[in-house]
Amino acid sequence: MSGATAPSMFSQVNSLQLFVQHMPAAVAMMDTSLRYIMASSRWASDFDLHLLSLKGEAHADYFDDASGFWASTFEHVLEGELLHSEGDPIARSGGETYWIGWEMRPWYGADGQIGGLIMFAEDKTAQKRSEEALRTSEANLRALFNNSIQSFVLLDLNGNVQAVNSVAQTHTQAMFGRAPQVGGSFYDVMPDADATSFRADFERAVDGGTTVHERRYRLGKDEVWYELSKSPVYDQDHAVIGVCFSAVDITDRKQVERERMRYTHVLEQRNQELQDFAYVASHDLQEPLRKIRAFTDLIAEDHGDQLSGEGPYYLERVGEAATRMSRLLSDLLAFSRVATHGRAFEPVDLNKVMVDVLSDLEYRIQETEAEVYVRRLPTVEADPSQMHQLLQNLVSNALKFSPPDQAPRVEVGLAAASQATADMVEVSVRDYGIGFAPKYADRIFSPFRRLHGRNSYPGTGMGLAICRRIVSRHHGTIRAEGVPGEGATFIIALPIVQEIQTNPP
Amino acid sequence: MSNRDPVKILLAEDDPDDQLLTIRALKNSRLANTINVVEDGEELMDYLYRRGKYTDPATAPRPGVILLDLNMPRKDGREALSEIKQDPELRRIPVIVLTTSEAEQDILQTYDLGVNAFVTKPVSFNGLTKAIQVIGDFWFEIVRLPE
Repeated sequence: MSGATAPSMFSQVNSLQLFVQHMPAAVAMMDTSLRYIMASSRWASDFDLHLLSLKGEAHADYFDDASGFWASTFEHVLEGELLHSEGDPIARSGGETYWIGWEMRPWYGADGQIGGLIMFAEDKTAQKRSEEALRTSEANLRALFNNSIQSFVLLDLNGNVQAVNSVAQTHTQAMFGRAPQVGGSFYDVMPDADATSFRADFERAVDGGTTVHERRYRLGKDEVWYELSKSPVYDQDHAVIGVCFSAVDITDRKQVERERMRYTHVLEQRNQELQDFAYVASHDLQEPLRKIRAFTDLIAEDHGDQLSGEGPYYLERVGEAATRMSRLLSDLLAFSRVATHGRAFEPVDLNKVMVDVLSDLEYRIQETEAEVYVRRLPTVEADPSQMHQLLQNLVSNALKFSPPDQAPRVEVGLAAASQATADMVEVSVRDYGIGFAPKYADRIFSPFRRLHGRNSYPGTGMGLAICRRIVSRHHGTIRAEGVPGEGATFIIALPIVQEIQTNPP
Repeated sequence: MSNRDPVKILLAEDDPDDQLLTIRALKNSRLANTINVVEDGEELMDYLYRRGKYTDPATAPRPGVILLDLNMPRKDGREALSEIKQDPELRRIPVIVLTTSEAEQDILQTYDLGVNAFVTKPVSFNGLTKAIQVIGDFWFEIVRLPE
């Protein structure tokens, strides 16, 4: 190198280096032994090479090439080929793998020989990743689509099949004898009758509407129900580009629904029959009894003096039996009316109910010289007249079942050993009367069940059965605790708020 | 009051036992008035309009009061009551429903139709006699009815 030309040569080399270094692309120039001659700073930053200068460094020291792909590529280029690729992986030693688009060409020295290669690389890792993500998501969607037990057919705006899953193919084949083919018109698969209603829904979907229908098909001897829906398919700009048609077999659900309706109908019928029976019991059966009593009265009035011996006594027994049967019938009617004549639930202050109950029982209380203590009671959502009947039955039982020589004592209040939860309250009615053996604690709530002879304690045995019916209509419970000779406690558990208010059972 | 014509009672009742018992109760209450009996709603209307077998005014005098059973064959008490209370000629005749029904619905419906009193028959015969006695005292002694 001569002194005169040296600065100019230097400056040429220097500016070329600068030009390469600041190129907004990853470019490297290597010699035939694949050592770097120069590289753009973008090359260093793209491949995470933190060196002041790559000059003289061996490419192989920084990049792995396990498969030998790059070695063979370099070889071809150094033999004079010009190569490029849209994407290949390149791995940094002990580091990341990049996905690059690249181009390589040999460079020639002044002697015309290949002096090395120039490699241009474009990092496509991010692009590759998003492509992979897209492929995964497509695969997932395809799996969902194909493995769904619901039929799916995707149609374009002309009704041509874009995609169809295997369930849809099986179903349509079974239904119409033809399976939809991708690219073919879906209308070709259906009979005309179905096509007409399908077209209407299809057009609504194209306008952005979704339709859902339940439809029954005959499949041989069987009946099959499908829920069919058509909804629009949108592109990114929210323009309708097709219609998604889906069908799900709801035959089982339909059968269950039908069964339920049948049972409901049967139940309603039974209830009606019960109500009719109650009316018959109250009216038609009462009628002959009334006459037995009336004519017994007339015999006594007109011919009483002609009866001799046991005659008047027998006549009295006839009248009494008729009276008792009449009472049984009215109580049976009251029992059946708990369910059929119940009123809607409303907040009921049991304190007020007790005031009314005591006023109704005032005569009995005075007559028996009873002491009735009422502690503060809660307000519950209930049928007011049934609450009255419930408490009246319990208090009047407490008054009734006490030894003849003893004034009854009755306590009404919140239950002492309460099993109540936050939603329930427990009210107890306690007496110190004759009590009962614990083994009868359940039986006393059965209709017509009595523990005592009619002569000692009168009654039809319906009072507690009515109580239990009232409590159960209010979604509560009633239980009894008794000790013979010491008394009985009746505990009613009632919900404070009723869940079903408008339509009590 | 005693010199007044005894009130003629028309009893509409299909059941022969009840006819017997009601007539007997009326007699016990010393309401020995003229008592005519019809057995259903159709007969009742024939009687009041003097049709069919009731064309002779002597056998079918206009009643001063009608004791009406609700449940009767052919035309029941409710239908007959409704017709009576819609007829300007007949509506002034007091109608007392005498029934075994205690149903709230029956009570409301018959008062809506214009009944003058709704009485549920007491269960015992003595009770019935007492009730008839009270009805008699009220309608035939205390109340002034249109002539």
